[in-house]
Amino acid sequence: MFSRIFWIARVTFLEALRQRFLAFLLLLAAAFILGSVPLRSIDFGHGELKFLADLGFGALFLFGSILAVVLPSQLLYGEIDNRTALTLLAKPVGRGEFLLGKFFGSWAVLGVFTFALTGLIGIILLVREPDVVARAIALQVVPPEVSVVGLFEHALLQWLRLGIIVSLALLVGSLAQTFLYTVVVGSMAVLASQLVWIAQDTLANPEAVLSTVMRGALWLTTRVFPNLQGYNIGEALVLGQSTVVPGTVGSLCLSAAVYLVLILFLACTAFRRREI
Amino acid sequence: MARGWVILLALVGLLVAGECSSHAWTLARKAVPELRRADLELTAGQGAALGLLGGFRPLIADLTWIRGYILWERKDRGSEAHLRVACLLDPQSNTFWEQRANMVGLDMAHWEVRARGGRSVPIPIQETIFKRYAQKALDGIEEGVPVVRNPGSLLALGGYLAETKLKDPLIGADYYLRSYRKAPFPWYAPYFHARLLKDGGKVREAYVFLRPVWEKELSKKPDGSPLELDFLRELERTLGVPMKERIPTQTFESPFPSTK
Repeated sequence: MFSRIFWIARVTFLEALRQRFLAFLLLLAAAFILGSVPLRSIDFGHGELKFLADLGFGALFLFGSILAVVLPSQLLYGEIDNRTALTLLAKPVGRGEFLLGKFFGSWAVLGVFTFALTGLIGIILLVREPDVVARAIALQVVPPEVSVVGLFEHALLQWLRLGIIVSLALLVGSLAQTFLYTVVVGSMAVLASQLVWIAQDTLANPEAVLSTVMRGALWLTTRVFPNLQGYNIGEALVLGQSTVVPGTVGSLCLSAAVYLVLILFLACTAFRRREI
Repeated sequence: MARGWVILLALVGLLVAGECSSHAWTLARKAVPELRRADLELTAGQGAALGLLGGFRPLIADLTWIRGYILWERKDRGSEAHLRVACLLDPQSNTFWEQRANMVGLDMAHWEVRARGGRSVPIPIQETIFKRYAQKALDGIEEGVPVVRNPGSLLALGGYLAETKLKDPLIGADYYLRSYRKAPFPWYAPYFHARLLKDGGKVREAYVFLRPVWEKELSKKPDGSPLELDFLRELERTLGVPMKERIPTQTFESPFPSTK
């Protein structure tokens, strides 16, 4: 079973690499990150490194999210529309294996995307760091410090976050009939997941006055949608400007793993019943 | 797999996943101080919501600030909401908090005085307006102190506003003291703390505070901090400190410096 998933993932990965959409988004994100270097002169006192890091992480977040919704949907519907899925599934390949192969192939591509862009952000930050530190010391303000480990942790968290988005897109794709519907509903699911922290904060707030129905609805929302906002702690991890409680990264990884398993299980179950 | 088992597994999975997610968010929350929904709800529109979606926060904060600045140039009090959103979107920026405090505490008070008739407004009413806006600016400063990158300079600005606009030297002294305790503090923070204590009638407290600070820290600076030393001499004279207990004459003070 694993070898079949591996081969489908490998083919998916190679196919995805050939897609112009990936190259376009990768170049766009890289241009955005490089473009932030001249933009750093727009200084409203953020601190240069913070500005560079935030813009870089923003590009990774935005273009990565778009890619994570569109790419797996495109690959899945490409197979279905071209009837290659039927040929493949006629062989001793389970539908679940097919979908998992699509997931791992797409996720691997997003891994390349994430780590390539994080590398670029890291190079820019490390090149600018000595200059910024010297200036901070001269101005007698707290000098910033770039953490390479933090950068790696942030890349890992972003990759996991994109993995959740890919699995959500595949779940929607398993239920939907058209590519456009999958992309639109997938994007809305991502948006909801990005804002689910508001429901979690409201539930955790002891002063919030909520009816039982509202409390139940909020509770259900926080269970159905994964909280993707928690993965955006790059600035704290890389520049250490606010505290990251020990165990945060591990806890986020565990949460991502549980959601990945759950969403993929649901996606595989739905795909088994789907008419191709 | 039977449909019932799938539903049961999915429900158990959602419960476990939700618990894991809630726990992870409780930990991650502390690393994202800019996400303060209650604050943003009051002032923010779609721009803030977009900013909350991760990344691009400083860029959106900059654009909001520029918009607020344009309104401020037109002397429009609507600028305050924009400045506040910019502060909340990028709370670590000293510039946003300090400029906002200046705009609210200094400019907006003058706009209101001018709108009410300028010089024809009776002085006590002017004073009340200045105090009201100064208090508003100080409230803003208090909001920024826990999250800003260099709280020392923000607190020192609070001291200045409390002294000049709130006309309360003791509150000003308290701000300068808090500024002094947040390194790196502006060089003048301990001096103004002592100066305002004296202005508030607490001469002995001013001396008791400034003398050890000067002896342990300020005298070690290359210039020996003559401004603070002069003030200490003034305090010693006012308090009638016995000659033997006064700070010894420094080489840079003496008309006949030692040749050793």
